[in-house]
Amino acid sequence: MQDDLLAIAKKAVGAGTSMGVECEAFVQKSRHTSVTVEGGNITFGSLDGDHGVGIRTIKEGRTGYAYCSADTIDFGLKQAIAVSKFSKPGKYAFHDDKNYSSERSLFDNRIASLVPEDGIRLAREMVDGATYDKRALASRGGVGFGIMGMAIANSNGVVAYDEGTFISGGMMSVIKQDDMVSNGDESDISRFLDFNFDNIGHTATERAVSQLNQKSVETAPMTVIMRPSAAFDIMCSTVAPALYGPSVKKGESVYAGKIGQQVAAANISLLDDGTFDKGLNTYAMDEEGYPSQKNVLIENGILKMFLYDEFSAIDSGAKPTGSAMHAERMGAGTTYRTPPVTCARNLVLKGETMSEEEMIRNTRNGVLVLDVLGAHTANKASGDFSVAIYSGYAIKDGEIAYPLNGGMIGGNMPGLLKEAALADNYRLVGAGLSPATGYIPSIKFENVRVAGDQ
Amino acid sequence: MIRAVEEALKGRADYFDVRSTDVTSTDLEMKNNEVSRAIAGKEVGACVRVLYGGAWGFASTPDLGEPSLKEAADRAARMARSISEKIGEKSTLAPVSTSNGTAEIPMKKNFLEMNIESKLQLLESTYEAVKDYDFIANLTSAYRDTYTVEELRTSDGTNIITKTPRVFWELMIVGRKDGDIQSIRRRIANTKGFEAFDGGIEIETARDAVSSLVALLAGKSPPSGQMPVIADPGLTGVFAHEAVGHASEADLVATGNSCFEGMIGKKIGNDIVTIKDDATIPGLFGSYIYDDEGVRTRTKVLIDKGILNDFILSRETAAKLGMTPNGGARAESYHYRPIVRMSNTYIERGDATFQEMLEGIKMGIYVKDTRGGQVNTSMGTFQFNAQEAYLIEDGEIKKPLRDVSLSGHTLEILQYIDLVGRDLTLGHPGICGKGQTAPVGDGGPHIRISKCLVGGR
Repeated sequence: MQDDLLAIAKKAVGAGTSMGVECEAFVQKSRHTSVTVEGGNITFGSLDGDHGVGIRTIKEGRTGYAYCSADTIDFGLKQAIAVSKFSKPGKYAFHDDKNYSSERSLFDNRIASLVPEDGIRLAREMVDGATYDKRALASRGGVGFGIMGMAIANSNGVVAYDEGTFISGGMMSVIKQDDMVSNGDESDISRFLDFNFDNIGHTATERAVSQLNQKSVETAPMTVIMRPSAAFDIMCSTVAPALYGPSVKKGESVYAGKIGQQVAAANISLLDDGTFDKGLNTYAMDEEGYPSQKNVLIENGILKMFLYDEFSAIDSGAKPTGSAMHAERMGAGTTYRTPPVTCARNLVLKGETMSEEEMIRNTRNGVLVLDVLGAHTANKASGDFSVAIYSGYAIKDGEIAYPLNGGMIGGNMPGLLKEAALADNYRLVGAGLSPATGYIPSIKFENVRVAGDQ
Repeated sequence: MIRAVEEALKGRADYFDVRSTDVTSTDLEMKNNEVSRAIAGKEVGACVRVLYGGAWGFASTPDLGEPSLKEAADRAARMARSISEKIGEKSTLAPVSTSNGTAEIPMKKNFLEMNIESKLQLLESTYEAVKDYDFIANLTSAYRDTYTVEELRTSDGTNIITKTPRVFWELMIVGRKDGDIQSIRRRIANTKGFEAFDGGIEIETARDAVSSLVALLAGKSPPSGQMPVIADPGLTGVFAHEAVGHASEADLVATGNSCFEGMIGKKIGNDIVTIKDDATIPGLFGSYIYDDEGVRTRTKVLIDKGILNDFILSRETAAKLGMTPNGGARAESYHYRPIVRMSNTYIERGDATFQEMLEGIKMGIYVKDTRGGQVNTSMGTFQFNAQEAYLIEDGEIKKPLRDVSLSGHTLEILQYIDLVGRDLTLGHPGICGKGQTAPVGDGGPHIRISKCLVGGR
């Protein structure tokens, strides 16, 4: 794949140069296999792939973007140049930083050599895991795996390539008993074939069992412990975008003007690390070919820096941070169809940790929230959120008391981070509507507004 | 083309279909008065879906040439065969009459014949309409149009070409006052041509957004807990979509994942509640003529006077549930198989006036429009968020609130709808995510919910 994609990227840049413009080409190729579980059965399998070229040009300080296929590069270039006349001129230039680390790509040959039959086998393992309890139905889920490769070149001499593997599994188990219904969810995702599919099904069903006999939560401010997926879901719609240089420049960030100030608990640091060795978005470079780096955004509670892609860095007089992604509009992926924007890659929370059990033991009255509904409805400008509890438990006097029948939690995420504490149960997590991913543990927040039927 | 695939699949498919799409699109964005995105794109591709031994295989290709299609067919058939070897319950398809010919949704103002300059004017006029308010920190406006030509051929004789234009306009305004930041969003989207914006509707909508932003900037945090709620048509629509529409999706029903399973014919809501999903209303964002299985779509009365009446169905789920397909299978693109999706989901009008709804509320909330929502269909728990909200005290609308979310359980809340307004507004557009995205619409009248869980920050 490497030689092919690099040849296309170089060809596009060469063609752009001969048309008299500066040019950057992003060539992406992916292959994806998925196997679907519905109603306890493996019902469907898909072999999909995508391949295309995103072209960005600069002509007389004006930038344009277009996408095309490897066979229609001239068409793509002409489109990009044609639309560039609408953009505001600036001092834009493509970077020439080629200081790539020589570490190996996060590539697992075992994933690369999986065939559809392997996917079917792993899906079956997941269904078997889920049905250890005969009451449970492996309602919906699936297995997905694939490869993504990308080549980037620009007219400033940058030529870069990297590729990576992915595998994921997810299951929702449903139990219907008497008049009660409960569901339990579990998923895992990795760059390596390093997790057990049987466990995913088993955990999903365990959760469904533990969600039987739900009760309402009371309405009061209380301690809320959020599991990684719930916490990351909300952070991606509140804290993460506020750390992007373009939001700061537009005055849409609660962190604007706060560099050097305390914005989180003193023992918490937040990194965006494009080099993280487990990271779902770890590649040698970002999607503009800028070398990946480790960015310390918040260090011991103090705000240190913001993230930039190459053009927003120029707009703000900053340096790029290796944070450019061709983020899909409404999805978790990246695609050559959209131009690069600033986006967190692998957000990692660091600091003093304790076990989640200890956190629970120290909580007199609170809730443990596994997943939430509606994180995307948070107010990105202010960081306020108000979401429903998808799955959670009441904590009474240091113990898990009962599963919750809905209820809501709300607060201001940037504010809550100032009194947050970290557990040690780190997980790789993704966000539904952004390619940003994270590696974070459960987080304990104080004085969160909880609303329920009582 | 179909012959080549037919040959490749000889003896290896009980059913197959080939769907090819050709999408022409324009994607524009302005931040304040500067163009921040202008992309003109064209994309073609095809996919082959094979049913063999009760199992499905699927493969896609961006290349419409015969060798690529044959290869995709071969890969789909191999996948189906592998899955079929140890299949439990077999998938089948409910019979439908075949569809043939061309179904074209007309454009009065053909955006394919317009240049980018004239489309950008729409965003420029939006900016001009509201630029002078000093509390507006930023304004982002976006325009997108897509023209999709799709050809579907199935092994049981359907050969239908559909041509669908869609336009989408969105405005996001961020306002600042006394160090406080708030944002508001408005959308206009239709299945039609550029005539969707006739009469300067974007300017009117932008001005309306500004007045909402003023209220938000003055807004206070809401009270929390159970209370009566009046929802405007925008929020009523999202309620219909999240709380009822998703649970009515037959793929969820058939896999034990809907609180509506086994409840057709049962009374689940107040008599005054009728909820429909209707792709046949011309021009709305979720409208279409044939679904992506070639089935002509029809009006689905999901809840008829409080009684659960119908689900949204694909051919496969209709067979599984012993029902008749109603044209509810949609695919985002050639990368995906069609799955059960909503179209335009709304609550039918009633006879109450807004004043009647306010009367008798000692303390409650009036909620308007939405930033979105989400649902857990198996348990029927839903959340949705209002863009704008007001406190109701002693039957009167009082101070503005902000960041109000609502949550509840579908089967309870349908009983708690105690008044349905005589007004009806359709055409509230949305983009629904369910692994794939789909353009949808929703709407309804004002409704009153006697008690609903309200949460704030």
